[in-house]
Amino acid sequence: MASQKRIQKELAECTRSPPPGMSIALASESNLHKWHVVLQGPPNTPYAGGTFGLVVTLPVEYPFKAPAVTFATRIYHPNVTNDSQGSICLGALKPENWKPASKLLGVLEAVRALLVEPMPDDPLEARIAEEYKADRKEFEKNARAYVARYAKGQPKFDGEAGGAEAAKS
Amino acid sequence: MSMSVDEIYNVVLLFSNPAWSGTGTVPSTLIRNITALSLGYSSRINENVTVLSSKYSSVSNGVIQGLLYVPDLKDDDPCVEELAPYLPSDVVHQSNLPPTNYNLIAFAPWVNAECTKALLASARVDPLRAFVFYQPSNSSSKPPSAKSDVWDLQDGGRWQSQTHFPVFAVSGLYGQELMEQLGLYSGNLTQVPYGLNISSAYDADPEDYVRIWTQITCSEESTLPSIWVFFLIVIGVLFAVILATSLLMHFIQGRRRVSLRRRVQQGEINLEGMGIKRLTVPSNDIDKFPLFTYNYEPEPETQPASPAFPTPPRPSKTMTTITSRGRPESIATPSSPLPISEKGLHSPFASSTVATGYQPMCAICLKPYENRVTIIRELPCGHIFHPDCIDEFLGERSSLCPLCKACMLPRGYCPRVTNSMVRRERAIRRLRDRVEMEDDTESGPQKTRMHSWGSSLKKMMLKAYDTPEHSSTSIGLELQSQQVAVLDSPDAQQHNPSIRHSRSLARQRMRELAGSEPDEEDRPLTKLQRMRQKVFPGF
Repeated sequence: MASQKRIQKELAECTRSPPPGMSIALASESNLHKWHVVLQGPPNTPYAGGTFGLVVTLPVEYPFKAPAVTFATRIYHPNVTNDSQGSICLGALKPENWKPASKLLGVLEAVRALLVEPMPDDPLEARIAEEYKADRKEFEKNARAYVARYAKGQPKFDGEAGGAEAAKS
Repeated sequence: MSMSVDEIYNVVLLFSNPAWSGTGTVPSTLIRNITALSLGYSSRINENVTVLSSKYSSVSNGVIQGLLYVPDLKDDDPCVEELAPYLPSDVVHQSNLPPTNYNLIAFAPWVNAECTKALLASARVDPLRAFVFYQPSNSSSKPPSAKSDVWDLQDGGRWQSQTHFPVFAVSGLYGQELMEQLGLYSGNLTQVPYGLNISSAYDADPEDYVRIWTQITCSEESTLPSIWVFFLIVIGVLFAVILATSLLMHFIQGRRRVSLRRRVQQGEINLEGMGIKRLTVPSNDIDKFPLFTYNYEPEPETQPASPAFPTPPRPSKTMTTITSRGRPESIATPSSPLPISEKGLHSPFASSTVATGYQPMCAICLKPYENRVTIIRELPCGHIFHPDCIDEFLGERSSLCPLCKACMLPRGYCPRVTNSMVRRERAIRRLRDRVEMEDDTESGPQKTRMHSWGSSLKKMMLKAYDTPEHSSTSIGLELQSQQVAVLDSPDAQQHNPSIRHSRSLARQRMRELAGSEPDEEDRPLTKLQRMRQKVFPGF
C-alpha cells in the first residue's frame, strides 16, 4: 500500500532527524496512522519550558487527504481552540490547501512556527487574538500560566486528545 | 353581511273572501294568479333597487313576499296631508286586504323624515315582511345608497336598528307607477281592472279580493365571495410575478452558465483552483500525459547524497524518452537532452510555473526514482510522478498538480456547469474585487470590519470541515499562502526562519478563504431549499 510506505518513510525521516524541539513516536506500534509528537515550547516565547503533546492523525487516504493535527495539551494561543479538542488553525491542513506533496515534517514545523509567531489576524480564539494584539504583556502572562498549569511534565495522550488535561482542570 | 335585491316582481292574485258556512269559517285562500292569465298587472324590476336596511331580514337569501299595501297613519297625523298628493285616493290600506293574516309588504313614498318615521312606526305593528320606499320623482336611476343623507331621519341611524324588517328603495318613476297600480287594485271585483273577465272566468264572488302580491328576491351579497375573488386575483398576480421572475432568473442563469462554461473552456478559470468544484481528470486524458524513463545525469559533485534536499534549480537534469509502455506517440516525444524547463509547453504554464530542477523522488509516495529504471509521468507543468501515484490522484482526487496546483484538465474541457458553480464563481469574483479594493484603500475602520468578517467566514468554514464527508469541499484560490509554500521545502524555511505574518499575508488568506464556502452540491438540501433553487436559480 502506497500510503503505508509513504507514512513509513515520513516517520523514518521524522524520527531520524526530527524538527527542532520535537520527538515523534507512533501512538501504538501497530497503527501507522496515529502519531504522538512531543513538542518543547520554543525558546524566547511564552511557551518556553512547556512540553506539549500533539496528536497527528493520518487519514487512510493520506497523502491525498490532509492529516489532522491537534494539541493534546491545553495551550493559550490565538490559533488553537482553548478547549480539550485543541484544534489548530493551520492553513496548510485546509482541504483546499493540502497537496500530496506537503509533508508532515513541514506541517510540524508550521505548528512550531505558529507558537513562535501566532497569527492573530486569522484566529480561532478571537478573544485571545484581541488580547495578543492589544495587550501583549497580559497575553504572555496568561500563556505562561497555561504552560505552568498544563504543560509541565510528560504530556498525556490517553484517550481523546487532551482528555486527561481537561479532566485535570 | 350585506344583502342585495335581485328582483322585485309584482303580480296580481285573486284571493277568496273568507266564507261563513254553517259550522265555521273557511279562511281566505289563494285562488288564482291573475297575471298568469294576462288579465292583470305585473311588473318586474331587476335593478336599481337600493337596500336601506337589512338588519332584521328574516330572509337574507331567497324570496320575501307579501301583499302590497300602504300603512295607515292616524287621521290627525299631518303626514296624511303631506302624503296625500302622492297616494291615489283608493290606494290599498290594510283594511282593503283579505282579513286573514297574509304576509305584508308596505309601500310608500319617502317624502320627509317625519312622515317616514310615522309610516315606519305604523308598519311595525303589522305582520310586515318588508318596506319599499320611493322618492317621488321622475328619475329611473338607482336610488342613492343607504349611507346617503337622503335617507337620514335625523336620529343618527337609529331607525335602521329599530326597524325589524328590511327596507328597500326603488326609483321614483317605478315607485309612482306601482303606486298607481296599487290604487287600481283596491276595490272589489267589480272595480279592479278586468274584474268582469276575472269574475266570469273563475266564477268569483264579488267580495273576493284581487290584489297586488310582491315578491322580492334577495341574495346574500356577502363580502366573503368578493374577498375570495380578491384573493384569487392577488394569488394569480403573485403567481404570474413568480413565474416571470423564475423564467427571467432561469434565463439569466442559463446565460451565466454558458459564459462560465466558455471561460472554463478557454482556460480563464480554474474551477478547482478557485474552490468551486472538486474535479478529476478523465483517465483518457491522464494517459495522454507522457511517460518517460527517469534519467538523471548528475554532475559528479552532487551525486545524490542527500536526495531529500533538492539542489537549487540547475539545468542539469535531463529526461530521455525511452519507452512508455509501448505507446508510440509518447516515444515520439523528443528525447531532447534539454532541461525540462526549456521544453516547449503550452501557454498556461509560463516558464515561471514550470518545474525546473531536480526532482529526485515522487512527491506522492516519496520514493526516489531509480535512474534509467523508474518510469515516470510528466505533467504539463513539468512535475514528474510515478504513473501509479499520479494516475490515482488525478483520476480520483483532484485535477490539480500535487506540487504546483496547476490545472491538469485538457484545454476545452469543461464539466457540467451547475447553477451552484455559477453562484460560487460570482461570489468569489465579487469577494475578490472587494478584497482588492481593500488593498488599495487602507482605511482603518473598513479594515477591522474586513478582518472580523474574515474570521467569521473562517469559523463557518471550520465548522463545515468538521463533518467527515467534507473533505471534498473547496480548494482555495490559486494563490497559496507563504506558509504552504514553506511546507514544501523544509530547508527553505531554515533560510527564512521568520515568516512574516503581515497584514498582506492575512489578506492573502482572505483571498483563499473567499473561495471556501461549503460546497452546496455536497450538502443535502432540504426539500424547500431544493425547490427554491429550482424556481429561483441563482437566488
